[in-house]
Amino acid sequence: MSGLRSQSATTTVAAPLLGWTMRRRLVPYLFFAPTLLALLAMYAYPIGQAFFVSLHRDSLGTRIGDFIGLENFVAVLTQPLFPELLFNTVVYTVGVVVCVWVLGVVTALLLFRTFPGRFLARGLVILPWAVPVVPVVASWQWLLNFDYGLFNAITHGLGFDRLDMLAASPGAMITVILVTSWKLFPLASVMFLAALQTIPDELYEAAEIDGANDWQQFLNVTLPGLRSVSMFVILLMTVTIFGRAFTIILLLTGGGPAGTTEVLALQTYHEAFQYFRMGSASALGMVVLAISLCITTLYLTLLFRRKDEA
Amino acid sequence: MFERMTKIFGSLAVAAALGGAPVQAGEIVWPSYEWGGPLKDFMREVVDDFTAANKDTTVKIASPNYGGFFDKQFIEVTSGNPPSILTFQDPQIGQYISAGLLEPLGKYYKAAGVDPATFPKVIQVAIRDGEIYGVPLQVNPRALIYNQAMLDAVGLRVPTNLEEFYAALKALRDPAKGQFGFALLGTPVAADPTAYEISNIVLGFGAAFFENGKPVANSPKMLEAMSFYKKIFDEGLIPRGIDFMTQRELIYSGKVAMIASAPFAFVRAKTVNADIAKHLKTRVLPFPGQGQSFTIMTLLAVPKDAKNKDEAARLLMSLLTEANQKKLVEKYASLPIRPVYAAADIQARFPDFEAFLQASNLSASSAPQGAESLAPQINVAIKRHFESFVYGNVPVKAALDNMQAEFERLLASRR
Repeated sequence: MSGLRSQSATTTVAAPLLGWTMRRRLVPYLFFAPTLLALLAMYAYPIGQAFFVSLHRDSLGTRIGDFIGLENFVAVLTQPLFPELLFNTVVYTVGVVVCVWVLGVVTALLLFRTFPGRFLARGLVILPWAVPVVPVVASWQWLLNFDYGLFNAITHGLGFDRLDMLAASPGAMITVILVTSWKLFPLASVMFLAALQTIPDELYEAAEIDGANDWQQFLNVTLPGLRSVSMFVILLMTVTIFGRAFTIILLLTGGGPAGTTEVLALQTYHEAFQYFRMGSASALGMVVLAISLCITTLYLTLLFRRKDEA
Repeated sequence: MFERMTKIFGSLAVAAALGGAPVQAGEIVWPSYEWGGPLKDFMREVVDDFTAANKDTTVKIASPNYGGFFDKQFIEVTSGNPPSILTFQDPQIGQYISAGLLEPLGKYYKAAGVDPATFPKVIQVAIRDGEIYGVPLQVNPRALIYNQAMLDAVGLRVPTNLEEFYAALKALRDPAKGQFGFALLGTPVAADPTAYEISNIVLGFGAAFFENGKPVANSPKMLEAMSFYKKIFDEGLIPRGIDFMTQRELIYSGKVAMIASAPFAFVRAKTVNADIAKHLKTRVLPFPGQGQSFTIMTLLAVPKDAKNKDEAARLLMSLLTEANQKKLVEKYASLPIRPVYAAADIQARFPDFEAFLQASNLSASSAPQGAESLAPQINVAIKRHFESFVYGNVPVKAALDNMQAEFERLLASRR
């Protein structure tokens, strides 16, 4: 009996390691921890590793090269082609972002209307985004072919000169922008379509009562209603295109003709997998990351400043 | 810490990408896009024979796609967990040799009684300081594949020199039918295929980008070769927007009368379009270089860090036995690496292959001779300056001078 009493007393005395309040405070962090760990493993580690490699001499073997500080950064920033690569990247990024935004909004507005076959049309719009890049590029190459392509057959049939859309400058850059935009616009379209459904009908009714025509309704009701999604689409596309997109260029023109479609991401790929210079490739990757961060920060600052002013 | 984690992550990623797992004792791991190619059955037979004779050895094969294969292979080697056998196209092997990543194979050649000196001369890219680091799987020299019926239709015989060739291009051009006499690279593509494809003309004219480690991109022969390229492109005598894959489809469909291509392209015609294939014949290139052409040799090698290196090297040697080399020709319609037939035999038994065998003896790698370790940078420079005069407005001479200057800069940066 006394033994039981003693055990009970011990149980009462043993206090939890953390108090109730503290445990409640920790719960959100525990829920957040798996995500944080995944983010660290998937983002922080590769970025940290790339930065570490960028500070070391290029080496092809399993050993990391000697520590050389910022030499790789100096080398990539002072290479003669860097200004041209940066210019091409900016043109490509701006071109794709503008085209994707315009195509996304226009198709979303069309699909938002009620018409027979709307569900089928909504499904078909997704196709470019769903089809793998390689067949997409092969199809475009044939469509745009100078001697055998459909577009040139039509334009030539109408009495116009044939256009070499992949081997002429600036035609090649325009082509890679259009093909990339064609591939990516469904993503924007779906997001804009979802956003359109959140704009209250009352706003359109009020605008109509105020005598606003379709164009004025678009400018004063629809566009403000799409503002937050636009912000996200523009940011997502900018970062994606500026820092990562090169597959379509690699397959369509290989960066040509004469480097006119060569962008920083393609050069990073060349440094890593053609020249086997992992240090230089990592340095270039870090430069692209830094520029992307600057663009993002600037964009968000301007956006929030305008919002505050409004 | 970082190095160790990199190795672990790299190995895991590549193992996942190639469907691999840790190497077992006596296991040879051989991933290659060639397992999906025309020689896959030949390779399978060789592997089966080898494992039957070596009961403790197993061979694990994987057939990744060609696209991205070399990138994955590079990651695998640099992560410290390479497979037992690597696959290269000849211009790529030089960098791996320079970095000391490959196992020397001279002793295995000696044990197998095979003399690499009897191989096509492109094998030189795998030899460094007297030691050999690669085993050729196949060699693909370029010769002229032509459609006799299309030439007959315009009353011409197969061209044997540049003048006849140019006359044939003009005679065969028919815009209404979309018909051309010849097809060459006519669109911007990635750097390596650009360098490969224009090598048909460069080497065909007896020119080269490099000789004995020195750049010779603006030599008179090169100027002649590239001026000819520009001329037939501007005159619309070759189709625009065409890469090397499409060239073959155009000759199979009867839209083009001649291409410079390899034995596999000639053999494949029979399965693609038998009606056209029966009119196809071959001869060496009719350019001023006296039949010289370019070739791609597929080379296999054993990485220094590989497990079971000895078994892997012995397996590779078994590809070169006389019986397997004969099988390569007779059963798989590929050129032999070793001279296993007498010249008269070839003429009598494989008449279509005679031109390719002649070309094989005359052909060279597209790798810059004496500057192989800079091949990727050189190919990027070739692409840029070649495109500047073919698709742009830069005069040919100025573009070649720019190319030469860039080559010299690249060499200086290496020093």
